[in-house]
Amino acid sequence: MTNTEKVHFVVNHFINEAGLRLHMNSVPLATASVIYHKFFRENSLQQYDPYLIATTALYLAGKEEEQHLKLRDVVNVCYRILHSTKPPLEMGEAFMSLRDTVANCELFVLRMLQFKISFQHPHKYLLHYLKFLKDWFEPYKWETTPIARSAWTFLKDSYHGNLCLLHKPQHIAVGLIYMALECHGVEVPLQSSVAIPWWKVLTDDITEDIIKDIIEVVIRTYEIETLA
Amino acid sequence: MDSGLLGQAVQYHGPELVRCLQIEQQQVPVSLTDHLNKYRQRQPNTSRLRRDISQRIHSFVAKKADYLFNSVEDASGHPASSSDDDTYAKMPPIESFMGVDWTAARRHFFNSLERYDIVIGVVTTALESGLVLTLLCLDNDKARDIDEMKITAFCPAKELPRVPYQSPLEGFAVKDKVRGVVVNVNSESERIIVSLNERALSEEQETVKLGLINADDFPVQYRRKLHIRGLTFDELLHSIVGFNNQGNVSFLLDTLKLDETSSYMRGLHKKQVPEKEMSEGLRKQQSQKWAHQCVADGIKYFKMGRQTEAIQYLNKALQIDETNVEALTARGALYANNESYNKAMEDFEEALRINPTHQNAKKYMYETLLAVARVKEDLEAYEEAEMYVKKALDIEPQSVEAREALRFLLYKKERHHSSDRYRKPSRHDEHQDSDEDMFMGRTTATLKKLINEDKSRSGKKRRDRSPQGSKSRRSRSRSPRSEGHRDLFGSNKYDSIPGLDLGQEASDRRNNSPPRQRYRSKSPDESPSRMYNVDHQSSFMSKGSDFFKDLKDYSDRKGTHEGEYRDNRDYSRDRDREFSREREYGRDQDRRSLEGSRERSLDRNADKQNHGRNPDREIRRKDKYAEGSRGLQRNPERGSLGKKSGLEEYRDP
Repeated sequence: MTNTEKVHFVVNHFINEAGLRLHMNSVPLATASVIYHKFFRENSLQQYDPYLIATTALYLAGKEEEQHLKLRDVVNVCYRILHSTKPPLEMGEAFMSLRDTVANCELFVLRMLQFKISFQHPHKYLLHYLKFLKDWFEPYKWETTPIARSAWTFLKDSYHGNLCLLHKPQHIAVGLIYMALECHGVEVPLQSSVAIPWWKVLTDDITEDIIKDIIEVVIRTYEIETLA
Repeated sequence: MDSGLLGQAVQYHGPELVRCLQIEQQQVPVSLTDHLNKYRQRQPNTSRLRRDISQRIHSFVAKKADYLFNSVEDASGHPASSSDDDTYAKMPPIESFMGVDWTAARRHFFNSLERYDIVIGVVTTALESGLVLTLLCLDNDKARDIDEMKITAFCPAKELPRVPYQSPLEGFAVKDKVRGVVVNVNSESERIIVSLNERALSEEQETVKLGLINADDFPVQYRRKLHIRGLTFDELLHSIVGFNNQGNVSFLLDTLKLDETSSYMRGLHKKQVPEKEMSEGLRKQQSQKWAHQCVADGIKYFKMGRQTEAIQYLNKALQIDETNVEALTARGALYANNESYNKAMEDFEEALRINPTHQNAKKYMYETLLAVARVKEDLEAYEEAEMYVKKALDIEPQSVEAREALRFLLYKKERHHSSDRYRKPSRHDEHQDSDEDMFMGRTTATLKKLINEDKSRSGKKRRDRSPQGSKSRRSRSRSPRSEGHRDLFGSNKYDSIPGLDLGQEASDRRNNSPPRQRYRSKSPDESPSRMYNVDHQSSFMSKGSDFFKDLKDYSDRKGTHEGEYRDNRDYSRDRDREFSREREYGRDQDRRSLEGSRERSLDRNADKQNHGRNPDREIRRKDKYAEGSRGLQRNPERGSLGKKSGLEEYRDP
């Protein structure tokens, strides 16, 4: 467990909490995390303050995913989470300078990412696949076992690590559903007598190794929490 | 932890999972052994993948068991109703792509079908007893591949829709396509009973149309199934418009009853953030502080006399925080000082609406109301004036001034009406003048009397400003008759007393003449505030503070008033000015008595004695300019004028 992994975990935790307070939806929040991860794939933690990049990522993601956040709110919330013991930020010098910093950093981050901040997220795929599987399951089984909930939660939590950068969104979606099914001990109906397994149907260029890899990364991400 | 879910996992994974659970979790339910018994030793053809990850999965499940096996929350999402075709990508059923075994699939279908499922089928036989259908697909947003399986359902005749003048069976022929709702499923015998009658639908399914349909009414997933055209699942998925619909994520979250904010991380799981820590709460807090600062600045400028800047700051404060009571009160006071009474009253009303117990707002509102009443009185709009005075009385029920004003108003109104009633039109003016002269005469007499009364009293009386004191004074000085009149506020006894202006001179003299003198105007064209020598700035802003009386502007204005009016007006004018100065000093409470002030001023002018605060007043009257400059000097002593004093005065009590 390297130190950088821990730091990234903590900062992504911060992103999630800020997103919660800013009422951000899952997809913009995911965009913010991806921006953050991509940024620090190119650069080292010593050069840039991760919390500043995280704040900027949130603001950028809001713009990109059409869930616009006011810079004032972003600054207020991020300051508050980081300095919860101090009094809340008042309108004044400190606030203005923070605001200007984020505004400048926005352009900097954009340039660092070569202005490519539009991503395909696994969320769409995951939800659609879950819907298709739901139709195939017996209703009672689906209603009582929280497969959808687990798969969705695994996806959201996976942004604490850099899974999003390692695999295609369809693969991630399938991998997480597989993991959810394994965890709950549920089998997709009729798999023993079927020509193509369900995960191969949903996305045909996936292999068992990829699924295994995805599951490994997710479990590792959860393990960092106990150590970070 | 739901033991059923846990058991299910144990049944799947076996004893290794139990071992991990025992290590990680404190308590493991005993009923697990039951499930353990159902565990079958891993089949040899279990996928390599499962074997590889099993260990990792076991330790993971054990650690997160308390989150994983929480029972499914009963989220009240929308029931599975038909949505638009493009809400999300409605694909053909995946079994179409998987290549399932038909017999197994058939069994699976019968196990999956439930009551209230909407089915679409084609009529194969029309019997006397009902219709036999071959099912094609489902229509309540479920996708199932069944048209190859030749599943039949039966719709009894009594479940057919009633059509007038026709036997229900006549409406249907072989090869007709119909939509029906499942009433009963028997999986062993593979019998399905379907109804085409709306009565069989559940409450949420009211929009579903049962009965005959055409090929166009087929659900989109079925139509797509018929046209797969050899694409892969992925390709087909991407070709559907609904897949790129921005709203499909939130729609599907709702359909699948998922939560946007779920997490299995210990720090985020079901995290509750208090309201004022959310972004809106922080913003509001910040705005309030910022607005507060702006108000303090605005008041500072006001006190310096820079009204344009003051109003700018106050407006800004209100822009930031519309519910800032201090800003509203201060702005109202500003407006009132500039005689924009309506705007002032709006601001005060808003302030009182937000905080009904705000002292300053109430005070200023009260004063504004009285000032407006005076204005209306001058314009002889007695009804309106009365309304305003009554409103003022609502705010300050104990105030004697308001009562006096009201009483006078009622009297004046009555006079006004009776003058129309009793006098002939031709002699209207004459009478009025003579009436006024009579009053004048009576006034002077009354005053002389009062002066003599006052002389006999000690100085202590002046101090006694409580309403009780003033009342007792009045009762002492007045005839018993006046007592009756004292209680007449708000009642219309005056209206019932005939010949008021003639019959009750004595009480009139005592109770009404001073106010009458005070408020009668000889030149209505002039602005009321100037005429009454009421220095609004002093009266509104200086309550409770010692600052305003020091300011140079005040002194200047007072000087002009004195010069202009001293000669032309009678003694009452001086008294008015003194009275206004009384208020300016702000030492009086709101329940200042009219008589009290009059008596005080009488005292001063009559014998020029030095009573307590008199020296100050004397000095101010004579050395207004000196006082003004001294005032300016005094300000810096007070330190940061704007911040400290402004905040003190305008902080909410």
